[in-house]
Amino acid sequence: MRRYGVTNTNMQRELEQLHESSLAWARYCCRQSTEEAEDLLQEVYLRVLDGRARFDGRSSFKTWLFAVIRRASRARIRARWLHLDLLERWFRAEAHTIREAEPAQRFQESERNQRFRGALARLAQRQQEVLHLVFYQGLTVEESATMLGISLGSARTHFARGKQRLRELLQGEDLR
Amino acid sequence: MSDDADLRENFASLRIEDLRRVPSFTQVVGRSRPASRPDFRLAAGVLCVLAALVAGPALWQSRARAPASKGAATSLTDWRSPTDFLLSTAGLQTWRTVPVIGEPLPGDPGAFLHFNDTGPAPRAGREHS
Repeated sequence: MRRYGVTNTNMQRELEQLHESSLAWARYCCRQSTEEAEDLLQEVYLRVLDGRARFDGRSSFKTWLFAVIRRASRARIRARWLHLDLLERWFRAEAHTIREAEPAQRFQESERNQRFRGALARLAQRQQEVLHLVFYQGLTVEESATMLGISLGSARTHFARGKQRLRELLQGEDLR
Repeated sequence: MSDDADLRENFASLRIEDLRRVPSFTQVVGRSRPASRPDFRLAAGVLCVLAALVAGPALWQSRARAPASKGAATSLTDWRSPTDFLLSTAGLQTWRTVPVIGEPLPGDPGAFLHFNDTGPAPRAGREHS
């Protein structure tokens, strides 16, 4: 199978190369739940490999893949509501909307990182996303804007305000 | 941007920590899919159909039993307000009929309308000199 010069084998290689970054982004999209993130990533990988999600070459592969992961996570959240999540919870008595990070996993994290994650979580959603993509994933603000489907100006504003707010929060925590 | 060195350092620390617990690509692709959940949309649909099957005939029968005259639309002139009775106050008839001198007032057989001869004389018009 050949699409836009990328064969299925090449596609798999690309996915493997970006695997660590993709998992971090998926974990971010799933509010730090590793189990949820792996499940989401598996779904995305299968979708890419069997051709249901097609790379059109309009952006870098990484930007496109991250956008697919983000869309898939949003679709899952929406689908939960459509699946009468409340009714399901009532039947199963299981809160599973977006699982928080497992306690054991949290315990392993250093206290400093835990506090940093806490401060990050207090930012607005868009600010968190832009900061994660720029600082954690190494994308440019422009690439982040493309990936999130927002204008460059808007992405820059989120980036600047996010940094400012994060610094304020870290100063409060004395983490800088 | 050198200003962001502090934030970059924190993010790098997070990344290092995250890398320690990354399962391999093949592990993620080959992991067992979570057990499929029962389709609650389907269950809700079946429930709705059942409810319609039970309630539908009952509703149909109750409508069929209702008299035809009741089903006819009430004419606008025949319509009476449900709170009309609140306007029926005591002595209402007195206001609706013209009293006749020497006859009891309607609705109050003991009372007679009569002129009071002992009352004050009607005022004379102003005299102009």
